[in-house]
Amino acid sequence: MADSSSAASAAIAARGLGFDWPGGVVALEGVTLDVAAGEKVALLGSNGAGKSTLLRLLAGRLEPARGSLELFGRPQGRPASGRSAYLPQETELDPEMTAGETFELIAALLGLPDPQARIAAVAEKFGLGGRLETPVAELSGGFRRRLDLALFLLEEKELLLLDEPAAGLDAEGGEILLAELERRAAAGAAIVLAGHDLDWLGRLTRRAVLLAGGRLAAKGAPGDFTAAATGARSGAGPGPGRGRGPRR
Amino acid sequence: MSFLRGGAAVALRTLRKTWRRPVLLSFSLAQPLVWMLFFGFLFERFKVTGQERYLDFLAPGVCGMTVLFGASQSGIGWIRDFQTGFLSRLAAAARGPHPLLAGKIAADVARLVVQALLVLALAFLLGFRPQLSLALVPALLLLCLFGAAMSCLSSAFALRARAQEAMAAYVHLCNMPLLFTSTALVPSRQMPEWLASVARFNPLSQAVDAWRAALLEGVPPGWSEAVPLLLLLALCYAWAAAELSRLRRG
Repeated sequence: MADSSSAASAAIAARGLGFDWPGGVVALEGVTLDVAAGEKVALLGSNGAGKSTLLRLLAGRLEPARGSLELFGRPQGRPASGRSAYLPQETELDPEMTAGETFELIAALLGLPDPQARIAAVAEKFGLGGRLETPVAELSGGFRRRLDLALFLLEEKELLLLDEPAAGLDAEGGEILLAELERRAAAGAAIVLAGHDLDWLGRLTRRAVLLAGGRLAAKGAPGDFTAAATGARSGAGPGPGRGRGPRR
Repeated sequence: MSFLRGGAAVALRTLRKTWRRPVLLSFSLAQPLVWMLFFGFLFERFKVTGQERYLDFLAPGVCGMTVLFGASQSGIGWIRDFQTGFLSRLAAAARGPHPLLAGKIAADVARLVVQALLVLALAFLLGFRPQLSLALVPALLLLCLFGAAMSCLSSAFALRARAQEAMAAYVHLCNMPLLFTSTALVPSRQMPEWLASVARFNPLSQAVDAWRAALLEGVPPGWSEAVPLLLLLALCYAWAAAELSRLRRG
């Protein structure tokens, strides 16, 4: 996955990142974050705290107004580095295509070697093996999210950026995702993900940062934060923690 | 190699979507049929040159018109992909804008060729008799060049505007002036002098005149017709590619 030189450098080195929305509304200010290869970091915060904006900056979909950002020792520029993958909050699918057609198209654009074997493996892992002929419009919301995730994970990337990846997944889907992210991190991928389910995130990582009002407010493990501070909801996500309610 | 694989996959997807939405094809064929019937019979006694019937003059022009209007549908596909968010996924997966753009334009041009040939078949039923010769091959290629350029223009506009409503304005602001300042429906010698001058530089006129000369007289087009259309295609493609690259970022 990562060569020795890139593995030695930080996957993400962000210094004093700032971003303003049109009209001068400050979305992020002074965010500093380092993430090493193989490390998993959870971004916590209530709605509008700046989690998604930070992920979009890291993914190269937005350009920082202030500060510096390096991925694998190189300035984040246009186009995005090619070593990272970004999964937004909303699914990005064509409802008129079947799941199988979508896999084939994305695999061809990625230029994957032996795409059929890769598609079969990922589809099977996410329980989509029997649904490849189904049009996306006819998939349930949960399976659309699974397809979204499976497409996102089709290629082995060195940096994975995920915005609320477990939202809309059932317990089984959450477990599958958890196992796959663990495997990718063990193989050296750096992972940054935003979410609201402290239990689920706590099973994935011991490192979390709390954003509030576009600034880094605190650091710790997901379990160290209260539901009130992070905007967590009872049963917000999948996995065994589902339904246990936020910590008080 | 990955460009070809990616481009072919995008082209296949575009053709599948066209096939699954036959209503678009039927609408785009109904329009030229109506034009041929109304204009053809309205100007039945209008002699273009000597004994040439107006239908003979009109049929190649309506082919060009069909290509022009069909090409403007290219942009709608981009907007639909933008609205579902799928375009962001495609742009992130592709190595640069070219597999996406070239694949889509290639499939759209294939659709335009089918539409143009179906218009010819309709014209044949109405009494049009073309001259079959090898000149038809380069003339059809020229029509493809024009269709590709117009598809790129529509794509670039759609990728810039990113709104379905804007495409309706595009059809009126681009297609109508191009059509009515061209030799698709009226020969240049029947136009006022200023309009004939405009028509001479109109890309639709260049594509249609070459197509007409091949169909009616078996005369193949030359480089003087091809070069301006190639330049137009290069310009429109570059604009669309730049818009697609900009979108990869935002």
